[in-house]
Amino acid sequence: MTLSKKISIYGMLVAVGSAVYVFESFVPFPIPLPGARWGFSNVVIVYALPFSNVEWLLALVIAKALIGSLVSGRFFSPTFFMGISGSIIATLAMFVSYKLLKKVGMIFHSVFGALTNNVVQVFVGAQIVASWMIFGYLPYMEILAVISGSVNGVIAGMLLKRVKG
Amino acid sequence: MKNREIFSKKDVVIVSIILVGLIGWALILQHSQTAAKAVIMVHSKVYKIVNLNKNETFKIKWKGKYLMTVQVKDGAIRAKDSTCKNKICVHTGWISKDGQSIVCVPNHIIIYTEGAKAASYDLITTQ
Repeated sequence: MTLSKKISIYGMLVAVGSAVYVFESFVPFPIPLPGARWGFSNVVIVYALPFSNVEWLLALVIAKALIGSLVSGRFFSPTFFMGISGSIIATLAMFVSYKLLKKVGMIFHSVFGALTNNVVQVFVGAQIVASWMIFGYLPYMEILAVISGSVNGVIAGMLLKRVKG
Repeated sequence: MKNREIFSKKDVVIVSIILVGLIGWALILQHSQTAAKAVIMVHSKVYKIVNLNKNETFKIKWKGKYLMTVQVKDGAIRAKDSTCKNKICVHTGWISKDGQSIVCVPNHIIIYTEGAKAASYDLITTQ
């Protein structure tokens, strides 16, 4: 892939991811738990897994978090730091699992990323409010992560099958 | 660009095992004992310890700035109103069992319940 093609592809992924990040709140989550979200914008990261190296993936996830939070108005708020640290570490985790585990499909990597994301978010949240009691939410959040991670994995896998790069 | 399977039988099995394990974990953690008091922490400091058997409604202020309204009623506590944006704390609703919590990350507030109620009868008399 030439550099100019790379820049245009990742630029488009950042744009789509940021837009979806803002608009995904219009799609209600089937289980009404406070703070539950679909996380559809993370589809672009799962989608980029097969053809990315780790630098471009990190650039994609950081750019998406910065632009998405600027547009939705949570730039540099405590929740912004929870979100961006969760996304970065989840992206690294998915990258490693994609490189190491060749026999499982996109759903597994997507679910693995979602699980990691929530663990990191709860950990950072515990630092912000200075109490480990917040970990009581973790099992419920992880059940939601399995649901949204599977859905996002299917979407990303279908995109990979149908979109010819 | 090599495409991998979206999912195989293996994925379905792994994801189902994870899901069952998590549901089991959530069920084990189900809180059952009634809490007696709630600790409110604001900006890493204990702001107030409230007795859940006393009904009251009060405001949390930090350095002169209003942050949250807390209501205690019939052994349960909730965030009635908050200045934060997502209102996750308000949507959490009432909590009354030991070990539950209400978290408001933007305002740096956590409210958690503590201390099961003592049994209403004397253990010695039952021997």
